[in-house]
Amino acid sequence: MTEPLLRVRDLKTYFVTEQGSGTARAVDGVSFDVRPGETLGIVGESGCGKTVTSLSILRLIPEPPGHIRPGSFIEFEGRNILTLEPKELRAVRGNQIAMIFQEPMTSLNPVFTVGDQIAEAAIVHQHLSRAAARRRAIEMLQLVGIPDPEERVDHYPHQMSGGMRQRVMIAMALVCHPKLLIADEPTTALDVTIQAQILELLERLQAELGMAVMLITHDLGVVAGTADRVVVMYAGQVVEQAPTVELFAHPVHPYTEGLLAAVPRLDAPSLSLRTGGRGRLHSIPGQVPAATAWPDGCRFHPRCPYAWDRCRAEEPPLLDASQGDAGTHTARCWLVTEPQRRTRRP
Amino acid sequence: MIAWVVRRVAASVAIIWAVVTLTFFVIHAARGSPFLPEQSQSVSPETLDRLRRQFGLDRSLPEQYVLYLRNLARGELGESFVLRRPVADALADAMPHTFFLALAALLIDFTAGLALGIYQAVRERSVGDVVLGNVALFVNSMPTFWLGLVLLLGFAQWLHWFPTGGPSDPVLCPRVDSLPCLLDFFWHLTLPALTLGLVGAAGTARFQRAAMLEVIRQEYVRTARAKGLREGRVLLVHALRNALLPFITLVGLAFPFLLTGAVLVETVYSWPGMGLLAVRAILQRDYYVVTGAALVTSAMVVLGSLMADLLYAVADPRIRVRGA
Repeated sequence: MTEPLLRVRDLKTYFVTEQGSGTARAVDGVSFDVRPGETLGIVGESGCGKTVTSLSILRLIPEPPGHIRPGSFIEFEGRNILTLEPKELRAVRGNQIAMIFQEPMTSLNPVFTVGDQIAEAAIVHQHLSRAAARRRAIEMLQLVGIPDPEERVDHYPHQMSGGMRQRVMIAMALVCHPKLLIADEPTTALDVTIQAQILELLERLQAELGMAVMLITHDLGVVAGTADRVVVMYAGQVVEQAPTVELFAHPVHPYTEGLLAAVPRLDAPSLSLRTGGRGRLHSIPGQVPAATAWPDGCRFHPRCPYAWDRCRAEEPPLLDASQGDAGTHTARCWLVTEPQRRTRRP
Repeated sequence: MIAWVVRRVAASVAIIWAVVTLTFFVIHAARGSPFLPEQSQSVSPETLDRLRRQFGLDRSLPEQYVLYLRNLARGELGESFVLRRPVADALADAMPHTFFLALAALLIDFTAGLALGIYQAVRERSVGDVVLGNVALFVNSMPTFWLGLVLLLGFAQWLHWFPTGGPSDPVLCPRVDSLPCLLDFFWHLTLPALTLGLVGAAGTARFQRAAMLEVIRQEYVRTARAKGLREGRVLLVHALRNALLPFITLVGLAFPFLLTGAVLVETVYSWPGMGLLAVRAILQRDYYVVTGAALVTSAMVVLGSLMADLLYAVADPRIRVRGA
């Protein structure tokens, strides 16, 4: 197996809460790998720590109130990002690892032209002249499929639609040909048709530029179409990780199971016309607990249909649930050791 | 765009006219006259009558007003009773003094205010932020004339670091025509400019801190960091450019503040600018100097706000597009 591009080990990012009511353990011991050229999907509900994880990788967590705990380890191409000097860190940001965000409306600076914003990283990292950087910006706009790039390069963000702005964000992120692109909910704020276009664009660019993509989303549908492997997060932890096909076919963790059952499907019997549309969409009961007070034992047990005594008392580690190669499929659930307890479908 | 400019200019003229009219009637309504009998007991009633006739004060007030406007339209501001010279000349002598005072104060106000505000926002809730915030609040709460008197007492009276007043040394430098005299002018300018500038800077800092705090939490600032830019560039280019938009409003508002402040500061420091001229003219009922000063002052304020609007259009592309 190839050496991973990015190795995250036992990442803990905590926040001191405003009222001093305690520490929010937003990310609490997360580990995963991203291999060169692959697409890793990170899935979970709002508040599960997906975004904090992605921001931690580039050390973009505002400090205070946030801080990455000692003992955490984020290795990119053999170097621990958490111990880099500011100058070395800047050389990684936007150059080796780039990031696009959820809100293309607010993630672009309103007072600079999109051309200037795209060109900036090329000037800083590749020391291009202004003219060369401008030409590069036009090329990038062309690459991400914006019509009339020569004209658009001088436009301001407010003159563009949401989908176009996200294309600009992508152009900006990819201008230095990074090895890893972190895409944090890149399609959430967009219309469904535009979502599909942006995902296609990301896939095409990934194939062309050969970069790895870390795709963060709450939408399993997005992951199904694009990711090679999936990491499912819940309550600041990784609860399951597996190759995409495997995860969809054989989900082990009850939370993953619940997420999959909650995806609306036109062919699902519960919603089909044959049953008169009386079926209801499945939802996971309860809600994500507060990050200041994760439940004892397994963090999912208050919402789990199978939970028994052990789940309430003892926190499960990531257990190997692989059917093929060992370690390809892991789940943080005692069901791995006692599969007979899975008595009914939720 | 052209329609907008025409509208703005028309409004500006209307405002200036309103100010002049108001000042004209208010100063005439004030008790007393330029030639008070009790002030000039030695002057015979015949002489007084002659003087009144000479300056047109024997006519009815509406008549005088129409006459004044007619002269104004021809570019004549009238004659000062007290100074015995054209009002325009007196104003022309005073204006550069106020201009340099306001300019120096503005420089102190904006550089110190911006720098402090940015520093405080970046170091939010640190000891430095809290201490500076309280000092700024204290200075901002001080009346200009009082701060002027305190500085005058401390730095001029006790420490002798700066002169107590006036624009230049009356013996060595009656005119600013050589380098030593220019330095002498700046030396004289320091305390009045500091007085006016510090009070402004304290307000500007509070304002700029808030604006900057608002902006550094924006997502595009995070985007800028994610690009691998230096923190200085993130803050001073990506954040500050946005945080300066509300500041421009302050630039427009600074003009009236500086000009009213100048009246007090010029009086404290005997600085022969528009403010001192206007105060003396008011006390002596020197009607045309008062209205002339009001005219020039209101024109400057109107110009200031016009400038702020244009600056907005330059700084914020979103406004530019809507206005075009």
